[in-house]
Amino acid sequence: MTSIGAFMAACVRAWTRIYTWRLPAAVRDARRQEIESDLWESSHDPQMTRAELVVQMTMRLTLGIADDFAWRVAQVSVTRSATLRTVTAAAVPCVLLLFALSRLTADVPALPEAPMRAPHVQRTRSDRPPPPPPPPTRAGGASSEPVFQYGRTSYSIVTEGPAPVRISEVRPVYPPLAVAAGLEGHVVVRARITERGRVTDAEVAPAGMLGAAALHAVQQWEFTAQGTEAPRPALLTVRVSFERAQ
Amino acid sequence: MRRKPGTLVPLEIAICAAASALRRRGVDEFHGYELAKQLADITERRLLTAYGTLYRALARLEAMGLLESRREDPAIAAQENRPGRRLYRLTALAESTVRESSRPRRRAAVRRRRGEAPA
Repeated sequence: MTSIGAFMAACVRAWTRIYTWRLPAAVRDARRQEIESDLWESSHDPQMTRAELVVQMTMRLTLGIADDFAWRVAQVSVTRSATLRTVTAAAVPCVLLLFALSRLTADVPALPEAPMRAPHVQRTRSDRPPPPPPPPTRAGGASSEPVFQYGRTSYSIVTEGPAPVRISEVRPVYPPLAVAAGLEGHVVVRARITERGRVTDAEVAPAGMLGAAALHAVQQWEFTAQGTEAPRPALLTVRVSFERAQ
Repeated sequence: MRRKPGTLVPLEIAICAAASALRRRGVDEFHGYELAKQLADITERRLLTAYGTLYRALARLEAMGLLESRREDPAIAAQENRPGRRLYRLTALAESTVRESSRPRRRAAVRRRRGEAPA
């Protein structure tokens, strides 16, 4: 076979592959084998010259294209109808089975249905974190207020005449952080008591966490004069001791 | 070409005639290319029937029950170092169809020779 003849044979094979593409394997292979056999027989025909062979292949290919198309369309429609029949054959028993099951379940008394919730509402609720547990209460105590420790105070007043009397005491809070850190000690607050019994000009030594707590408490103390004496200014010295309870 | 129900198109008749001619020559089974050559001989055409036209018509005739086909024994094809053939065979129904289809033409030819008017 000449190169042109080989080329034409390749064209015939290529076209056959195209119009049999994606057909059922049995149909596709049968047609391809048939064309292959035809090509072999024609190329080995002793009565046919090389030029005739090329012409025959070219004309047989081009003149048969319309029939190839029509054949493929027929094969596809056959395949589709077969597929449709298969699907129908499978679907009919399924539908009948479902119908029978629905009839059977209809005879069974229905269980009470649980109240339905809208899905999004349910999700919203489930997304919320659970409420925090209540704060721990002191063992044996019903109060939920925080329990503080306080510093012990002792004070002295220097004045002319009778010393004023303390009428309001605020205890210095032992800072929880100092308790947790194990910080202990004592501080001294020096202040002035006015004629109205208020504490002013207060200073603390040493300053710090404990000193601030002592100063804050002492500044809220109130005094009054004894008896019928006229109120006089006085100097106040307060010693505050912070010791952790054992 | 539109086909009347229950009739064969000319190509199908020609294929049956060619297959019948092959049988008379002692070839009971034939492959596509062999039939195409025989078809060209009886129709006195130099051009062989197109691939698509020929094999589509063969498939139709087989679906009608006028032809039957089988795959050739692969061992024979392998022995001769060539692709396997699909071998076709004319059925008895096709033989009678060929006789029926050629009878009116023979009668018309006889009438024409005798100078009679066609029926």
